[in-house]
Amino acid sequence: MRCDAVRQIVEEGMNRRPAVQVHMTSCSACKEYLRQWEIVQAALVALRGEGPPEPSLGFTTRVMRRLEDTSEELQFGQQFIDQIGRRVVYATLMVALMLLLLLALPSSGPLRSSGVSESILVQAQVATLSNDQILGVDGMDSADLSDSSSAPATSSSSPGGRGPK
Amino acid sequence: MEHSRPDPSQEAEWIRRCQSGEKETFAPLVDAYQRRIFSIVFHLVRRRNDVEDLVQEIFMKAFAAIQSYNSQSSFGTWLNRIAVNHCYDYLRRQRSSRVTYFWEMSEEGQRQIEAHSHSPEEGGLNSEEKLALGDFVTKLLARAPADDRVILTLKEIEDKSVDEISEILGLKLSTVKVRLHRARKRMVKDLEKWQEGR
Repeated sequence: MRCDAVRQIVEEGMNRRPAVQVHMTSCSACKEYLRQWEIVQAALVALRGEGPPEPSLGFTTRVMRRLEDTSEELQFGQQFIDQIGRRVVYATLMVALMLLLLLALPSSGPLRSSGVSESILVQAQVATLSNDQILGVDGMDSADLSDSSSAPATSSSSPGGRGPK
Repeated sequence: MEHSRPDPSQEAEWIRRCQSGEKETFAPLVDAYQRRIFSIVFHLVRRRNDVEDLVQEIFMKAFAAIQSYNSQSSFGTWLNRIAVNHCYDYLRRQRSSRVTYFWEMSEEGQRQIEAHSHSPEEGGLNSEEKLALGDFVTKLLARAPADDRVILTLKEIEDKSVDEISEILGLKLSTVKVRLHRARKRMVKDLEKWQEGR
């Protein structure tokens, strides 16, 4: 018999089997294994006598109360998801949709914010020029015109800056 | 507080009602099985102060999973399985913070064990000797991997048969036998190391 097979038999307390006995007479390693296993087993068996602690008074009641508390917490969680959670989900979806739209739009064009501001600026400049032309035709002198041309940045925005003479 | 095993038909009725949402019928099941679960948890974790909390958590888990109980095994075995799995998790968590080693045991404990190494039955030991043996094996088990600890506790301390262990752990009979042998070999090896280190 192989040592490992003998040891398995020995562990089950069947070391009186003839085949095991024969093996043991010639194998000192298995004999030593048996001796060591008996020490370990003695110690393990000694633990059987050590009784577990008693359940304290009202143990079942406490378990049932915990179950009640847990189910209340679950109900609260469900209500929260129903009332608040759904709104949060909708808001998140809206934000995601907006982001997608921003990414999907072309980089230039009338709907882009930079394009819009540029076109408004151009329109404003055109409008200022035409106002100046109109003012010049309506009787402004050449000095006024030269003032306005020398300060182009302010002329368009401050007609009052010219003031009464 | 002591409750004997309930009548099987009565137990089946409680389980059925529990599965259909009558929470209060879980109470008699807790009453009937709490001692058994206290015993198995105590022997697996060996920390008196933690046992009651762990058993409460086990019953909570059992209630949460009661729909999955299908009467293929007995309710007791099903509950044992939940208890053992819960203790596995606990032991794995504890393992990282464990600092006790078997060679820390007292000289007196070592002497007692050697003296009684040829009497595996506890009958011939006095209370002091039993205490020393308990001290020794507790430290051996604390050092063992969770797998070894669980299987050895079920077999040697809880005195379960290989068939029962196979049902509780959901393993084949042959796997249980192999693991049991491996765990025993490791324990013997640990003992040898300790003896060499003395």
